Amino acid sequence: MRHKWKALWARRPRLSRKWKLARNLLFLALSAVLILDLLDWPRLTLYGSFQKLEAAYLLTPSELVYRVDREGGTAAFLTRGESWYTLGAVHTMDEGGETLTRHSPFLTHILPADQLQVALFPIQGREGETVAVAVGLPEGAAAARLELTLEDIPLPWRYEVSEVSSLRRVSVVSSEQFTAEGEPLEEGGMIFLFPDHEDAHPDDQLCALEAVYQDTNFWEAPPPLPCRLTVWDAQGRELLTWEGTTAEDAGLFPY
Amino acid sequence: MDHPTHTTWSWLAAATRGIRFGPDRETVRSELYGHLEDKIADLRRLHPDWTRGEIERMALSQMGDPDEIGRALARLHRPWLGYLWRVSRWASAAAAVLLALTLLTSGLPDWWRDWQWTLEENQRVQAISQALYEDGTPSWEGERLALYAPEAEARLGRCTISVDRAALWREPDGDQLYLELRLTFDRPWERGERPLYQMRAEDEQGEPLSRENGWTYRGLETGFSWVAANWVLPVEGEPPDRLTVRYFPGVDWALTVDLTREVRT
Repeated sequence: MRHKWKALWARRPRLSRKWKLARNLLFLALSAVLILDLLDWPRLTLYGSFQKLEAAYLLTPSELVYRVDREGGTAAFLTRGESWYTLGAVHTMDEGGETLTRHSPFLTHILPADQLQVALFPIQGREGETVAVAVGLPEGAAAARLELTLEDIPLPWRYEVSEVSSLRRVSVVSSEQFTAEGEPLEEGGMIFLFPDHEDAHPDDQLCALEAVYQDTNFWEAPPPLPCRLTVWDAQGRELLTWEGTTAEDAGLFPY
Repeated sequence: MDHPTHTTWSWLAAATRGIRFGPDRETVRSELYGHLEDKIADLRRLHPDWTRGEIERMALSQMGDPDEIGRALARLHRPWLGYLWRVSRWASAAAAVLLALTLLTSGLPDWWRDWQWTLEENQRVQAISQALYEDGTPSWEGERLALYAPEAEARLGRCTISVDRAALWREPDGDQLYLELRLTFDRPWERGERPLYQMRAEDEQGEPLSRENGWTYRGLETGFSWVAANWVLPVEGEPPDRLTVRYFPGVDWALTVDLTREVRT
């Protein structure tokens, strides 16, 4: 019986090298598709994962306009689509997120390009800077100033529940104003950077903007905050003064 | 097979020098050596009084010029095909290991179950769609009042959004307008149902038709590169002649669905 099988095996059709190569390449292609599908077509970079979520919400093609990085594999992205801006971020999780990369992307804002809106980036940068974007600015806008006025911001919950007594004594500045000059973007709109100024506060006092970010869930943008935007043209003529709140979070996730 | 002598070895090396792919060189060399040995055996039978050296020299001279043979063999054996084949073998082995690991970690049973579930769900939705727009029997209480063929289509991102069929039904909750909303993706791997839930419908006056408590649909079908849902829109009084489907407020996009093209059944 064993000899029979051996003889049968010896008589099996032999492929030429060309056909073996073709067979191997076909196997490789099928394996690659199956592996990628099982891993839900992962993107290896943070921006790649962001783009994947954008595509899932039909917000592509788009171009990257601005990026804010933070340590620990986290970055926020502002992109420009056909008639809109998309703002969101990607965190690298310890657990959860995408199977291979542990990336967890989310979109916080979809802003019409032709409608005046101000939005805060969902994360602060490496240096603790807070970033905001204004879109839908009037034609001829060359300079802008954004003012955020924060009043009665509650103490972040982690201070309230802290077992460390020195943390429980911390309070938030009752009223604080932040001002930043705009940096024009090529694609329209302006970026505003509010530098970290934690050193300006005593140890037992928390910066109001810092308190807002500390109390915001990691998958969300800060809640709407009162702001005032002034826009000038190249000749220094005031084009617009707008008072309102920063845009609300859209809450778009991959699931 | 005896070991080749130095003279034979030199001849074989010269004849196979041009073959750059190692395994091929070895195969050809042993094949040539086989021929040479046959020739030596024949000569030994014909000239039993010759020395081994004489027989070998004669056999080699009958084999031909090794440099000329080498050039011809080098032309025949292209090295890139051999290298590619060797790489493909290693890559296939690596892919098999990677695939096994991925199946173990990502869970083949889940993948299989999801696929089975999709097949069953698609069958169920096809039955619903047959009842809604064709001559199928509904599994719910209701009566079809009108059937439309709006054939509306628009592009959004890398996707085509279309409404080919629509129907007005009278149900216990009131009149409902069903739209077969289909999303066909240019890239099948980007296929997903998330955009469906962001769609909003409004009538000719710009009044919203979608339910306040979110997106309602009767069955969601999934294909290789598309998803389709029977979107349920409540209608009070006469249905609109035309409705507009919109996406996120920031996205300047609209799909106009003409409901004047009624199909007689």
